[in-house]
Amino acid sequence: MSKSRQTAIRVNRYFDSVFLMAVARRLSEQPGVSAAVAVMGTPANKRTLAEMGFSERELARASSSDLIVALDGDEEAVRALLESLESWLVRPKMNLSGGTAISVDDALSRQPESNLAVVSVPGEYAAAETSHALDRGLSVFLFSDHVSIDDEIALKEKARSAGLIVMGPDCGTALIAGIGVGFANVVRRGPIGVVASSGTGLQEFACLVDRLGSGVSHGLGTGSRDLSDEVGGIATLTAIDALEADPGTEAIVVISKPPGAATLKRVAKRLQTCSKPAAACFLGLKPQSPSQDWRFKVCASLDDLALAALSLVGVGPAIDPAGLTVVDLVGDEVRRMAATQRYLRGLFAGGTFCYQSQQIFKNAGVVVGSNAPLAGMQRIVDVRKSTGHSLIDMGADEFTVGTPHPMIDATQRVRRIEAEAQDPTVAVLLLDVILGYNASSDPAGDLAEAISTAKGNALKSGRYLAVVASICGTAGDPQDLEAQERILRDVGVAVFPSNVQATRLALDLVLRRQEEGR
Amino acid sequence: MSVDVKREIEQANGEFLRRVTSGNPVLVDVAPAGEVYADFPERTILHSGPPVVWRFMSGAQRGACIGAALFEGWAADPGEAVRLLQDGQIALAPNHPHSFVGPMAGTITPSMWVWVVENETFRNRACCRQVESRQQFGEYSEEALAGLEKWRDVWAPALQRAVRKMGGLPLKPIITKALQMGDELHNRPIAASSLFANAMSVPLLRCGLPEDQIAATMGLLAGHELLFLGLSMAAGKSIADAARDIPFCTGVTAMARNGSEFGIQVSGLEGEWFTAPAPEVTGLYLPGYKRGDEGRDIGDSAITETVGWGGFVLGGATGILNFVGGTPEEAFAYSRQMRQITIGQSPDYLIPPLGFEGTAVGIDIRKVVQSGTLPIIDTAMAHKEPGHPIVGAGLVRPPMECFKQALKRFAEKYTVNAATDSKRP
Amino acid sequence: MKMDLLSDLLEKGPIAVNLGLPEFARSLQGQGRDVIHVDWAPRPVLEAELREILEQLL
Repeated sequence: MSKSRQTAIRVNRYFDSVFLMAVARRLSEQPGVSAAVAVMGTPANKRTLAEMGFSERELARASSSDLIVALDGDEEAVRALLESLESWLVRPKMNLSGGTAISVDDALSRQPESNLAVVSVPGEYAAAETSHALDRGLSVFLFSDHVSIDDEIALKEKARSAGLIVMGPDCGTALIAGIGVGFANVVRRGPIGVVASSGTGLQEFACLVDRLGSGVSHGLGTGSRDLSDEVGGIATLTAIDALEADPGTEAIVVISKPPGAATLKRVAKRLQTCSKPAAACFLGLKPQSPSQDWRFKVCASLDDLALAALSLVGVGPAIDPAGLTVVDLVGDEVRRMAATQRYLRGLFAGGTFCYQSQQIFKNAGVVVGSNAPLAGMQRIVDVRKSTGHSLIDMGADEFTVGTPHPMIDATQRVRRIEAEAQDPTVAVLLLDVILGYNASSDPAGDLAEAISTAKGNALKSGRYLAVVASICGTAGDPQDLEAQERILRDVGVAVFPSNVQATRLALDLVLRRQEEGR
Repeated sequence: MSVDVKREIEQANGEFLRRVTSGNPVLVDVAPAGEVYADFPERTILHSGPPVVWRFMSGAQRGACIGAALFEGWAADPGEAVRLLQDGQIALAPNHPHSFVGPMAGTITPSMWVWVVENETFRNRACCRQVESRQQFGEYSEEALAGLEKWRDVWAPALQRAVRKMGGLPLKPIITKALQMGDELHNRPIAASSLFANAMSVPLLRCGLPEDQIAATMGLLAGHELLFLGLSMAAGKSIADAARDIPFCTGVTAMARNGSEFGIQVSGLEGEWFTAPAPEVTGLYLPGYKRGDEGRDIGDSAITETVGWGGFVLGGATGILNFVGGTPEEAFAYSRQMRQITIGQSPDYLIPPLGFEGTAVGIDIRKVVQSGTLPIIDTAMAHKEPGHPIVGAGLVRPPMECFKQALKRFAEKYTVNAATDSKRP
Repeated sequence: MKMDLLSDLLEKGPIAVNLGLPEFARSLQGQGRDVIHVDWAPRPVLEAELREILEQLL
């Protein structure tokens, strides 16, 4: 049967990327189809398609407001699918009690008491929509990324002067009055207010606080660049102001990657004068950096920050934070490994986890490679292929253009687990599993089969593959935390309630293999 | 000092909205077009849509013109009618500039009786011809023409007597109620037709004509579900005409199609047509017809959408949901979408399922171009060839090109003025 | 500094207008919150002349 690459263009038909990825996936599962892509006709998407071998002349006809569906496969199958394309583009019904509106203004006319716009439109349109929402008196949770830094600054300043906040761009998580926005866990309400420039950082911290028996008043995201010196922490400062004024908040914590030097000073100064006790975790910040006269506590990890926050609000942890006795596990795991097995491969859905794990390895003097390297770590040249110790952020842009984020869809991570497991030098896989709203409905189950197969194949080849995972989640999460833990344990995974604890075991395993190798 | 164009437009559009929403259509007469319009041009057929010449006329409109020529007795048979039309011995002109409108092919000739509606607020009149299912779709058989003759000789004269006797019939109350009874006044004017029949019954009985004629006329009113379309079109035309010729106004005063071209007119660009090839209609077919039989979009009936009825109030017309995909949500979405491209909302004409929100009024060419959202129009379908009755009904959107052209012309007219003004000392 | 609107958000919790991914609206509704999803689509790409005209007129 002859092969064919064909594209169909639908002018001025917009679909969101999550829907289109689902369409592409369903199309790719049809008999005779070897590849299927459904994207809006942005220059970046057209380039990707051209690289895949689709006709540039055809693609040139599409603009960024047009839908492109590109199919590669048997000529007959491809033609038949493109002819029946409309039936693949039927959107699921929204079934929202509030219904759907055609514009923000239309929505406001029906729900005048609205106080938040949740914006996840493509980046090039996000600034205009955010600005409009601010004009209408709405704070904005801005999930979209690829918003220019100038736009970000202008939007945040506009919000601040109007008594509003822009959480984002590139903000994945917020907890507002106990309600999760975006990727968020079901977290007990309590006295701890959080300001976070990292979505998974906020999720992990909130889950740990919940597990330790306390709760969160509000968790406000600020977007990944807020504490850069360009932006200067506008949203962070706004959020601190709001939490200081909030009667339900007794202590405030700030979570971020290392801030710009000037911004760090600014935020520190603000926390100094804050009327409520505060603590912070600037992941990756050199331990000696905090100035001696800071009155707020600076923690090296999210776990330490959770404990510090509890002590600020005068609550003792409900469970022993030390968790499992790591040492016992190390012996069991290492005993069965083959001489070739030395390396760690970390495959993360949460960028912050990749970062925090690197920090732990760095502090222990072990150099690892990463596609998102911490200062002092190696940048991996080919992100598709690991060598040595590698910690890969699989939610980074290079993995998520045109494909779903690993928190939603495990396909890429499953493939990578399979690939890593075949490498005889690999001793340990380190994973994160993130529960909560908008994450996969069964994130542990998505990985379990691949882990089980990987471990089985290793055994057949005379090796033993250790798999260590942390679960970021709470007992209240829709996925059922206990069931998720069980799924992983059943396939032989060492499961931990935090990325720090999982990483420590992985580190111990790596160090033990180093000793034994000598 | 330079003219602030945006402010001028906002003011002009505010005036447009005021005029449209304060329109008060009253049926004041039923009479032959040639009497109502004393200057009706000699041996001329008025037709729907923008101006068109015979050579480019659509099949349905040609058929209707043949029928009109036979009806007037200008030709003895279809062949002669075609020759006269070809040679220009029968002239052609569009309805709209003469304050007429006609459904589908829309042909109006002097001895054809029309509904005469006066917009009492502004004292302007507008007329629409009879609505039927044959000649206006391009059929010119004897049976098709018999319908026109019956209207001329029996029904219309009776209606004239009754309307005159009652001193006019206000249409706004009927339209308001009908919108709350599931009508959208274009493809579905059934409630309005019934309300109209009720209102006419006693005056008809008392108008002093022979019982047979009264019974026949009341029979027409009782059985003709689309009868009120002629009245909603005349009412819409009387409302829209009052909003014509407002300098700086970007509101649309007419959307009309002749089966070849779709044309719009804009208040601030009075007298000009902005046209593009007529679009294809997506719809449902009557038994015996199939996709591909239909001609392109045709008729002046989009005057109902121009004043905010028809497709704009689909959200309230649950009876014709099958045209819009079948669910109320889809119909609501159309009505809400129209608010994106309009100047304002009517305080009087309301859509009950949308929380009694006012209908979207006053299509703004700027918003259409900016949003990419086109007005939604309910319509019937005529055959692509002359000689057929109604084929089906469905939905259509105008070509964006009309709005783009109009916007460019508007900028040329008004921003040039602004530049000149700014040079004044 | 005025913060009435932000305080209102923290006090009442999100009453949201969602633009973009419908999943975010669904999860808010799943938590018992009022949310209206906007059936968002990008503005069409217009030729430069029309863009300039709209800039001037709208």
